[in-house]
Amino acid sequence: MPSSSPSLFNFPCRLTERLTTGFVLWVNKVMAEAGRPLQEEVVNIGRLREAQDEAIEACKTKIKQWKQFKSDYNAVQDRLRTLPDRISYDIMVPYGSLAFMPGHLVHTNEVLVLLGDNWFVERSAKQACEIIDRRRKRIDNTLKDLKKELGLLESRVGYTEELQDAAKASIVGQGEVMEIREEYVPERDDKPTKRISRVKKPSDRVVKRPAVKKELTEDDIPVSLLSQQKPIQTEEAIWARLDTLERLEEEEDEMNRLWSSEEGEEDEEGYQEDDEDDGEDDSDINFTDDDIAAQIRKAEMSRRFEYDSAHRSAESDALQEKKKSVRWKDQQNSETTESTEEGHRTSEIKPHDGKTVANIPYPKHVPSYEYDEDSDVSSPARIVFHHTPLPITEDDQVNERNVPSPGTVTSPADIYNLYCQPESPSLHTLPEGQVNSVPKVPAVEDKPTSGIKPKSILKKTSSREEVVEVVQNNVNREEAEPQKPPPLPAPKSAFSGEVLEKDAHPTVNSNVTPELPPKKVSRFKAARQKHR
Amino acid sequence: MTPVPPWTVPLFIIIITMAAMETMRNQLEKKLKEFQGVQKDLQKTASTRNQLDVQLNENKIVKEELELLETDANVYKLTGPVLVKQDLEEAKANVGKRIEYIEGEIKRQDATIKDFEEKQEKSRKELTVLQQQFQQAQAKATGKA
Repeated sequence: MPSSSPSLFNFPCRLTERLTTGFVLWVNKVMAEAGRPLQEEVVNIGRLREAQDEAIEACKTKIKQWKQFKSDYNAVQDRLRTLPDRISYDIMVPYGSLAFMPGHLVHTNEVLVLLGDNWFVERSAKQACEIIDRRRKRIDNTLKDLKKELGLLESRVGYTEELQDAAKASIVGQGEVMEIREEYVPERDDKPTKRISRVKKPSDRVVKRPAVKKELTEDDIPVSLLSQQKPIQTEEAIWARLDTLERLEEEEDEMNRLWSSEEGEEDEEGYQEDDEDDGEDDSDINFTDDDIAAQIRKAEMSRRFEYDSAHRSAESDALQEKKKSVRWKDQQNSETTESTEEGHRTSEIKPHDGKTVANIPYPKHVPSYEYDEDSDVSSPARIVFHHTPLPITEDDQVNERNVPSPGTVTSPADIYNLYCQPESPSLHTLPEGQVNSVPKVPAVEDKPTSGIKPKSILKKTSSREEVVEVVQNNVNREEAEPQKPPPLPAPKSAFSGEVLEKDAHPTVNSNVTPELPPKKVSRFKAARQKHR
Repeated sequence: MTPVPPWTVPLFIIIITMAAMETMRNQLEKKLKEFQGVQKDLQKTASTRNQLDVQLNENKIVKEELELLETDANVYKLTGPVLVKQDLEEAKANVGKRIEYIEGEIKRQDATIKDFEEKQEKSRKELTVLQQQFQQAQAKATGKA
């Protein structure tokens, strides 16, 4: 039986042999010449590679051999299966190595099987097949091990290859792999890049701001003041305008951040910090003189106005301007010449941006994405979802809800506004489906008028019931329509029925509490309580 | 003592160093040969151990198959050109004994291998030391010359 164990031992022997011969040769070489170590290394690595390749070849041959054995065994098994089909076969018996003789193959079921180490055993054909099966299993295991070994060797070769390439690369001009070296340019660190400004402590911002502001004051304020288009008089209007413009600015910045992908993290951090340091921002804003600050704000506003108009017009030129204008604070020093006043303002607005990040409405007009490619601060694609704050106008302040007439229900909100009184405490305390003693019909008719006033002393039914009855009693409502629009506390002729007034809170409470679903008590406890 | 002219002094030094070099070189060669010898021994023992390993495996398989045989099966042993019938139990015992013998041999071989490995390591170290010395001497010689 052939050797069944993978001769792993051979491999290290061979390899060590090669290595030692290599070593010896190396020693000789050293003796012979002064030696260029780098060259030697390359040569030695080459030799190592050769040895590894040899080992791989050996492994492959072994695998091939075992596969051959396996196929042989399969053939024998097939023959054994068919052998007992006949009692005797007419065959040509080999005589020596050169002759054949006609003869008979008898005892077709009797097979002498070599177990190993010169031990034979007489078996039937079927039993021999079983032996073969067992051997085949062993061969499969051996093959598996050999394949694993081959894999390991090949991985080793990979490493050696890399080593070779590295060695060759060090000897410039020989290798295919070239090491990319970049000289350390200290000048880059002098520039206040975004990386440095990433460490956005309040102190940093404080430091930066005055410089920026001063620049603004020197160069930009006169121009901006001159360019002021719209003289906004009232303070509130100014602040409102400022806020809206800030928001737009933030939209722009967000877009910018999204697109300058490699520059994001730092600024994001900064922005986060900005969120936290709102107070400090404020203080920073007031850092300089008040008049300068006011001038700056005006400048911002005017600039934002321009920004808005530019965007709305959607001119490429304007956007190109924006391209220049959107600069990171940190690039101020490096690109002062390039950036316009807008650029300064943009950077200065930064802290504001952080403050009001939460209020950014989703940009309706999408600004150009061709933003500063020069800026080297990248922002990760950060999607911040916020609710769009509804623009609060003066009218809105007074009338919390626009209660539409019943015929003009255009949205679910209208329905709600029409038939529900959210401020009313009574409604909340009432359980669903709870109906008070007020007759339904009048209550329904009562709805349109009483729905308008913020707090009605009249009892209200649940909204669901209202809606249902509203549908049914459309006519009544139409009658009530003309009276509905003016929000009057006292109902006029709209309500013709009897008004049963009740004390809202006490009655509600007294009604509510007993009507609550009974607290679940176990039978036994209930029985006990009853008993007592 | 004959007065030695001063200009011959460096010549003498060179000659002396050259001689030293020769001895060193010889020493190095000797050490190298020794190393190579140890290497060969190691290889031999390693191969014998491998062989023993194979034999052990084979006998183990035989043992397994013999276990699976029924008691009345005919077992034969090939001794030379003769196939001799053997008793199953006897065969089992023989194979067992052989396995034990082989295991013993393997252990012995392992010990020898270890010895040889140690010797080889020692020899290698000596060789490196000598080689360094030689290099230094060479450098000195070239420096002087």
